[in-house]
Amino acid sequence: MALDPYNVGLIALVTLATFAMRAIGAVVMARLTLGPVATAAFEAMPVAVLTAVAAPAVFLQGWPEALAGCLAVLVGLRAPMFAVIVTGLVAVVAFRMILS
Amino acid sequence: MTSNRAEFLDGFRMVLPILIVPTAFSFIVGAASVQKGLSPLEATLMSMGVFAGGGQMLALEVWHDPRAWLLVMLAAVSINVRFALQAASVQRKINHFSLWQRWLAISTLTDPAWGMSEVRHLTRQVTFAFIMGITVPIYLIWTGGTLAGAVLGKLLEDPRVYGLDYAFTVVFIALALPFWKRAGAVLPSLAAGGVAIAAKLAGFSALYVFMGALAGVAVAFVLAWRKAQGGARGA
Repeated sequence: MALDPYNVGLIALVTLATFAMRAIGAVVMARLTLGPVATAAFEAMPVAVLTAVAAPAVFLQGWPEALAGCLAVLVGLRAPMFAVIVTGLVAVVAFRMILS
Repeated sequence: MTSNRAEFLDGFRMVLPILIVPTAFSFIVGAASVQKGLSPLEATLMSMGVFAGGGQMLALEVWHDPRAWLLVMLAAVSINVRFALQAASVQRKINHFSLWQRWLAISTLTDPAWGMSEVRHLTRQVTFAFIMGITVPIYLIWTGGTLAGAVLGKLLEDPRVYGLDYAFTVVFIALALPFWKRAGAVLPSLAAGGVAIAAKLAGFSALYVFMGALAGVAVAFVLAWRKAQGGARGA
């Protein structure tokens, strides 16, 4: 089993950064009261990041990826997270076979 | 005071119905990790240390960028900043824990552990055993599932055939969907997606994510600020 210094270094960085978020919340932010504007900005950050990753990956790769992404979103409006993942993966494979 | 065993089982019963989510997700994280060049051991170490799927997937997305050391930190911070808000809220409910119990609970905090502790707090005191009843099964599944996904992912010769290269995208859609359903997140999300697409077309490799995210947060900030102003005037 290989341990590559580059990979291990980056793993350590991600671990520390994630731990820092949990720790800052418990140590610092538990003692502060954030106003509604700051709270809204903080709460918007995860969904903004997720959307910024997903949108180009859905719309800039080609038709199979775009169609599969839209289908996954439609399914997800009603169905749970697990169904979204299965739909997206099955759909992208199917559309790639049909459209290529 | 109920027994630790009963408290642990209460937590376990609460988390049981959703354990399918970390099972499937950890498997995908493992397969995606080896796809990005991590060994199964490294993938498992990452799951043990980070213990947060969205951050792991986003970090892997920028793993081979020349500025990876900066981008993986940005990735982890931007998507896991929600833990800061959650930990702040949980901290107030677990002040009676001993020091090591508090730090163990905080450093392994997850969305389910946070959400279920909030629900528990509505009716009774949150205990360490209760939180561990939620966290321990998730942790075991998370690390075991990552290892299994990584080992199996290594056997696949061409991940594209199975749509695994698209797994990143699908996971991000699945994680974002609960937010998209909230009215307040629609405009920030449109801004984030639109700016990210434009920035990627303009050639900002990897950085397009953070430019899009910044646009989304800015829109959310302006919306909340205008709402606060309107509220102040109305009062």
